[in-house]
Amino acid sequence: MTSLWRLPSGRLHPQVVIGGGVVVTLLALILGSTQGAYAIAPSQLLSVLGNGLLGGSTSSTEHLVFMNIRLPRLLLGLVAGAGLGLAGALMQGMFRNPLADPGLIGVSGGAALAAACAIVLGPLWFASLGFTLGSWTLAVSAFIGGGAVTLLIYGLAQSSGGTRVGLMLLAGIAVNALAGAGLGFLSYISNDEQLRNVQLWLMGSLGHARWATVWLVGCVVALCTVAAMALARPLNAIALGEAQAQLLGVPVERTKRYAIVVTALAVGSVTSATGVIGFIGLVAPHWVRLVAGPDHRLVLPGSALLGASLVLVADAVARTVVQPAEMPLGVLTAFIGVPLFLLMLRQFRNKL
Amino acid sequence: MTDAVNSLCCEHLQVTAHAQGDTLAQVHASVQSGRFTAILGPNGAGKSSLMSILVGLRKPLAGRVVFKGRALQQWPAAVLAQHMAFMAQDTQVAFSFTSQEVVEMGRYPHRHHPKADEAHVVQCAMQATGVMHLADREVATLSGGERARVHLARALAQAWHPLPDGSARWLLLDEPTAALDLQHQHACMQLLRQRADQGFGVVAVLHDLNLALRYAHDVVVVPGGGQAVIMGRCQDVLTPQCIEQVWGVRGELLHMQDGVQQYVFGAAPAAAA
Repeated sequence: MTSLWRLPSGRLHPQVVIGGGVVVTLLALILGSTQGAYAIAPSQLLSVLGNGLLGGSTSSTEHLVFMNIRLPRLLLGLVAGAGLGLAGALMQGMFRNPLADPGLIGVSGGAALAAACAIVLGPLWFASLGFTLGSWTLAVSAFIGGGAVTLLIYGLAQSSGGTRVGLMLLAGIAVNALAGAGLGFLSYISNDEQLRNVQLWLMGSLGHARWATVWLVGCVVALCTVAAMALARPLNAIALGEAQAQLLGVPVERTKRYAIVVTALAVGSVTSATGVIGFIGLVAPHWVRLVAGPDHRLVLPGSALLGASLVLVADAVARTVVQPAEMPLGVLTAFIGVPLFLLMLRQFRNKL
Repeated sequence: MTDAVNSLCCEHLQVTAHAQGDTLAQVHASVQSGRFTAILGPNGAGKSSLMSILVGLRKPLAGRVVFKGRALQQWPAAVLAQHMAFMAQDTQVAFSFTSQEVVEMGRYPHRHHPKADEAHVVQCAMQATGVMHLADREVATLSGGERARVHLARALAQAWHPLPDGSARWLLLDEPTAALDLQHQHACMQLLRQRADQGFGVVAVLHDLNLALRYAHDVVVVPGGGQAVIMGRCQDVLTPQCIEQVWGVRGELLHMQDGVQQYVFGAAPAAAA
């Protein structure tokens, strides 16, 4: 089976995986650039991009739409998908379980609860505060909420022998259920407009992208990617079990703590900017492992690239399928992600 | 007589099954490098518990382990892993790692100072345990015995090169032969004996007294029930009386043509049944 593309084990060459991932992501970016309420032909795209890069000041509609609305949205989709894919790979590696999802450690649940609090109770509470965060209120609340709930779950999983991931899994399920109940309660006491806002936030959207958000989330995700790569080899060794990894000299406790912090930062910042986008963190690492093998030095960057592509494609569809309105992104990532996942389950049912 | 730098010492250890609970065994003994030491004893006597204390995975109820003259707790994990390799009883590997990737993980402690022949080390370790033909197979799809040999190769790869300070490398193995067929049991024991003769410290939990008699230098018998362990040379400790006392089985010594003594076992005496 050895060939230019494949290793003897039937897996793709690392260079093919990363190269292919980059190409797919670029294609998704181009697709995303042209699609939308205002269609831009690929030929126009080049001139707009050229103008933008050379600092030429055209005020054509294409230019305005592309530079102010579409490009920040595309880039936010890119970093959001990358962050979610990366976090999924980290969590599956840490839990030694391909079913783990970044949501397990409570980031998204906490962020959702805090966001709902800000939407429903915000007008009451923030009025009494001496300052206002303006349009950042929602994002900041969500980020803090995600961090706080992650901390709570991490605390609950502590035992005399350090962090026990089994305990963390159970505590995560329980606390997420509690956050869901809180969300239900808030929905119940909210008025119609608030309810709609909560629901829309829970379904995720890249529609609020602006350059400031892109920079902020982009920097966080980039730092998280660098930090995650340092965890790749320790996570490989942890596949042998935490005890055996410890005896290989892996700082197991520190690796778990860093993995949780990186996941909370990546998912927290992405979620606070876009709302909840599901299934990317669960699906992307699976596909990468199937074609590239389980080595985290490949799975981590590969999942980031595939996550980015999936979000970009889903968003392109979200913008076009019910024009001029928009489909919520979270609905589409589920519509695209779940069939892909099921397809994979069928294809590889004997291997999993 | 005991040379602290080349020994693994148990000082007044109390071995328990869990963090709390009844004492299973008391260990005050010292194991030397250059010797193959077998840990023997009935089920539940505390052999595996003793092993996890020896490698520092668990703290003893009382006493301490001193490795190369320094308390085990004071060894940084990254340094200890360069001096000591451990093979657990059954290691479940998550995800679809291949045999070769698992053996490569044995090189993790040396990643900051890779040798020029890293790939060669992995190949040689796999050849030593006869798993070269399984290199590209996923570990999860292997049989129990094949998997055990892959993990043995990983432990060998971990302790492949001599240490810079010249001190002995150590191999600790929890029932390395449990899943192996007759041929591979002997091959594995031969390999461990060779390593011990090359100066390694080798400590292995075994169940087969005859394998211990043939290949091990020393033996630590863990009788269970909170009693002190019995340590000494194989032939001195593994007497028919000892075996009847500890296992409740009557054994008769056979003198093989190659000069090694081996046991044949009869039925348990009525009193122990």
